[in-house]
Amino acid sequence: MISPGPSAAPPGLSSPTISSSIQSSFHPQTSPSTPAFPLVDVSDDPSPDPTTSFLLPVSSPQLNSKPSPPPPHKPMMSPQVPKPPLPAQLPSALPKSSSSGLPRPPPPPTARPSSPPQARPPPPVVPKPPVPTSPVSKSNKPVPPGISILEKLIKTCPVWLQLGMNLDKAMHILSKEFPGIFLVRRDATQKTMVLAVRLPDQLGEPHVKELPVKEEKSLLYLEGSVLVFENIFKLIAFYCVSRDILPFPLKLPQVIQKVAKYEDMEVISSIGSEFWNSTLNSHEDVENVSGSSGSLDRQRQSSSCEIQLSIGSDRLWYVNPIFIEECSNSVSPAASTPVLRTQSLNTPLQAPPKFKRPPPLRPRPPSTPEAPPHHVLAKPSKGEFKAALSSPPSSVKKREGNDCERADREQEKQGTPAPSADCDKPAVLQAAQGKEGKQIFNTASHRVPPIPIRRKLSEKQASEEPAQQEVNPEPEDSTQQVPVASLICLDDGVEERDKPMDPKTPQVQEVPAEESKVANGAPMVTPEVASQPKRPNAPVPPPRKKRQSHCSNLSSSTPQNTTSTVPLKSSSPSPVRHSLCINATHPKVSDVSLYSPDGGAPLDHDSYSTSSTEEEADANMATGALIKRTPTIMLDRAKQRLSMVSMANLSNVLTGFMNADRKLQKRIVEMSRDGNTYFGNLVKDYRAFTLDTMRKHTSSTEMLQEIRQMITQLKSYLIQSAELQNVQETAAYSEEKLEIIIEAAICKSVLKPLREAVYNGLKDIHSRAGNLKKLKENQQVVQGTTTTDLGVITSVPETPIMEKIQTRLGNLHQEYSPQKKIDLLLKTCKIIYESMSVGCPGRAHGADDFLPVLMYVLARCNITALLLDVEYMMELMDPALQLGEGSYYLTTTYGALEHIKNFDKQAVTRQLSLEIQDSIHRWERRRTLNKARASRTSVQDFINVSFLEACSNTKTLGVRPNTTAKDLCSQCAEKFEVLDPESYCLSVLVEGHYNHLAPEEFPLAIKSTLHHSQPRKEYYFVYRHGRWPEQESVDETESTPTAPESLI
Amino acid sequence: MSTRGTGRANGNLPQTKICQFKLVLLGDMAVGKSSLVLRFVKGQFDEFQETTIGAAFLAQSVCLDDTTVKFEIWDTAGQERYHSLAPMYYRGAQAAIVVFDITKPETFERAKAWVKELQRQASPNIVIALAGNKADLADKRLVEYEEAQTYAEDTGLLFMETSAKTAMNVNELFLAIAKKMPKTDTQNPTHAARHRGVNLQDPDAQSTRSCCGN
Repeated sequence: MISPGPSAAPPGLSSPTISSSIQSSFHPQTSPSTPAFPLVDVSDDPSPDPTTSFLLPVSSPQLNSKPSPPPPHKPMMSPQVPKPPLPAQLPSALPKSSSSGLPRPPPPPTARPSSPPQARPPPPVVPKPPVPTSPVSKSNKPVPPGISILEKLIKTCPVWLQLGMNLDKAMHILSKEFPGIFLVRRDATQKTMVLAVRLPDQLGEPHVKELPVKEEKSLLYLEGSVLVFENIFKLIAFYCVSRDILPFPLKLPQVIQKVAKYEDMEVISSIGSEFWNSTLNSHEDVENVSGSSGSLDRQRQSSSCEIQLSIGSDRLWYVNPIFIEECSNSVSPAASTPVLRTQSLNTPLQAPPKFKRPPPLRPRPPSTPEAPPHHVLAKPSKGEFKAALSSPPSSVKKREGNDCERADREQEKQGTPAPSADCDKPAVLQAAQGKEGKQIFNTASHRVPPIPIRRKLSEKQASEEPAQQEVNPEPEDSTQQVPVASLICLDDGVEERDKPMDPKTPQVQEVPAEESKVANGAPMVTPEVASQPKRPNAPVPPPRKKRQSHCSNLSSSTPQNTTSTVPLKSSSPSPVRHSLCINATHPKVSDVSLYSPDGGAPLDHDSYSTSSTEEEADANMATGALIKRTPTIMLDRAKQRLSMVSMANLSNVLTGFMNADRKLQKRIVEMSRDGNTYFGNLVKDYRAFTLDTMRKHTSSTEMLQEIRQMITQLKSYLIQSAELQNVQETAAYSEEKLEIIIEAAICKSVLKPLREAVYNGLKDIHSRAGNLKKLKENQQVVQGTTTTDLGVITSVPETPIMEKIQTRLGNLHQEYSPQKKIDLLLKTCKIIYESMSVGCPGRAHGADDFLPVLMYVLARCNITALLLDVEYMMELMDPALQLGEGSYYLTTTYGALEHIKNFDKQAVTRQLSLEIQDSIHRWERRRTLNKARASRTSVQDFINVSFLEACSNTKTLGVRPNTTAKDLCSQCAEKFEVLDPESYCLSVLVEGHYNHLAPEEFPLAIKSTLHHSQPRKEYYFVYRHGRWPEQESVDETESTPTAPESLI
Repeated sequence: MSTRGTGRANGNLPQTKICQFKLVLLGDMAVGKSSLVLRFVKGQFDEFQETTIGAAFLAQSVCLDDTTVKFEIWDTAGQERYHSLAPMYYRGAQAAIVVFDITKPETFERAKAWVKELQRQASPNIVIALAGNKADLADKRLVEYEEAQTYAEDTGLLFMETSAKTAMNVNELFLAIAKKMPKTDTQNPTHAARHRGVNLQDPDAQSTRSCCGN
């Protein structure tokens, strides 16, 4: 052992030179297939890439699967490399002779394991047909069901994985192949793998393209692609199904595509690179040429793949169904046929998958019907989840897809051995024997050859004759020293993993052949452990998922390790175990710590994303709440301010009410509402009379003048009335001030209730006359004119001021008191003056400046309401008051409105009608006349007269003090539409008695007498049938009212 | 009524008579109508001034020997396009001042047109005064004094050349109008009514109204 150690170091240093020399030496020997294999091994040794080291165990176990001792030979091979030239010739003779001798003993043990698989063939055949998804996945009939592309690639890698092949040779081989055929070789300069693909001929010349295979954080990907894979096998498998960045999917040689037996794949892989020149490959050509249907099938495959790809480009998850179907198809048949040989074959190819699958496969047979649906359900959900994520998840999906294929491979392997023929097996065995011979040849020392022989013999004898093992104790110990280290590592792993995998252990122990295979797998565990530390370095999410799968692989491999360590424990030294145990514990602890964060990370991410979403939702809610609250707060503040203002107003109002003037005005208003007072009755009657006669007016001026006269008369009566003396307190008022107070009170008690009716009446009259429509239309015309056309030479009110003006005019319209309306009009004009002074303060503006701006303003206000307001003010204002300024601005506003109303005519004649021009003059004369009338003592009054019966069909009739009963009867006849007035007369019903009135009596005097009688009597004037009474009775009645008059 | 009237007369006897007249301003735009009136109003004692919201309407009293004359001065827009609104202002007016610019002959022609319209449509007894404003620009005179004087005498008008800038003849103009106003109108029942409406207590009434307005 010591001598091989130091020899190993020198060969590593000089490996490139030696390897090149070896290759050159072997070139002349290309014709023999045997020398090709050693070339592959030699080129693999010096490769420093972890992927390559990973590949070595995968490829070599396949070739050495049948020979049980291959692991111990590998370390010996490396020291022999430095002596290739000299011992090459000598060993060539020796291994041949040795090989001829060795094949004799192996046949017996291989024959024994073949019997069990033969016994199991019937069960796997039955479940295959019922699977409906299998035909969908099987686009090619020649392709056997169950063997996945990944499995084929792994088993035939010596054919297409040519790491030692140069570019020229690769081009030479591919130029003879069909498009899609590929090779994977190594670029000597960059020391990276390269994918060489045969493309369609260009200009009649064969075209081959090379794509570098990049490696990053132990992940492989094609240059220009974003898809990453764990190893070269998964990468190639994916591109055989989906082209991604390739012009079309990769293709395996037809022979490999059609292979249906594992033995056949082993034969093909044994040929290695010579396959491309062998009859098998030429046979493929012949088949292709002869089988046109085969080519059609291929085209269909490509078309279906393209269709799927096109769909996949839009939805990456769609690709998964292919893998899912393959997995589900392979699961059912594999589960039904758990062949031991299949497991042994799987083990050397991939240790991790081997350790995984045996345990789950065995329980599956009883649960066969449930297995497929579970897989289908689980996989789609995963795919959907990953699809929801971004591109990395898509790559992750593909990886899992590859994992599924691995599982399928194991299951398929278990199934395929059943139909294998005995004649094929001997051929494979012979090949294995040949490999063994090569290994012996590689060993330099004479002592080495006898040791492997002894191991094999010892193992076989152990199963048959345990005594023989005891005979050779020394040689066994010496040979076992090397594997002891690896075995000890296995022991540590086994100890920890035994607990979770207890049920599987006895199954493994039952089969002694499996134990030996597990022992072969020992070196597989070490590289896995070594590779694990690298994986934690990858912070990308996909690697985390890989770690999980690796952990499961390790756990699945536990039982096999246990079986392998059992027989060796007694012979191994305890101190070595302890030291190795400690070493093993650290990586495990790191694995656990790495795993927990991996497991926790996604959970935290989920909770974080959920919480972040909730936080965002909360933030939105909070924002909404704030938005809602802000206006509330503002409203509250505004309300507070308003309430403060209102409080101030209330205090002002209360203070105002405390004034003597206010108090008197209030009492007059109260008296006007009191039906017990004569004044109250008078007000009520006047209001009823006005409402009744309002509709009969055809002129707005006439209607308003009647109302104004009523107000003037009421005021005149109240001034002369004794009832006012009762209300008025000790405070003495001048006549002028008293009139002002009374005017305000009467306006409140009369005009306020009538305001709506008055405006409706005005509106009807002007609408019928077409004034409102005309005003509206020409207002639009004026709005369209320029300020220059209006004669404006100053600044005009801007938008905010215009809004203020419009608001004030709106308030003016709502007011009922003519006095207050005029005050609001003056305030509005003042605002206009202020806006005119903008830019030139201090300058006084006369009519030349003011009128044009007023026109501008009125054209942008509610001109209809203002027209009615101006007339309301002009006709209902107190004519006695000297409202010089008010009169001026009323006249100016009225003139402007008339100017706008006739704007179209203005353009032509520039003349207003004489009637309009004279309207102000006539208005002023009306005011003068009203003032003159006010000086008279005559006051109009009203009498309510019922028709036929008291209190029925009562009408309010206006009468004056000098109105006679005869005159009143005339009004009654007209009012009640009586055709024969001669048959009716006027009577007064007092305390149940009707008293006829004489024609010359004064009804108003009678009313006044009865109203002021003490105690007061209920009286009703009734217009009913009857004749005028005789003169004597008339005289009597005349004398009666005279007395009350004198009393008054 | 007679008794009350007597009472009022007694109340007024210790004080001078108060006559209120409506005076309307006419004339082309930019001849200085507003400036003329403002000069008149601002030149008077504050105690006789009434505050107004703008210069389009002004009120000012003038003291005569035994009477106080209060003018309510109504300004009019001189633009041609607003000519048709003038009747609303001058009808019912007791006095009118027609203003022209001595530096612009066209304004004198316009003034003549206003005088003719007033004589035809205004009150028969209206007192008309012709004012040749901007006398301070004598160096740019284009309307001779004699021409205007002759026209005024022939038509029976008062005539003065005035200057709002220098206040030349401003007070004289209004005093001349006041003196020419028929005082006997106070005997008229209509004027009597107005008389009752006009007394020293008006300010109080206005303050009261303002309170109501509030």
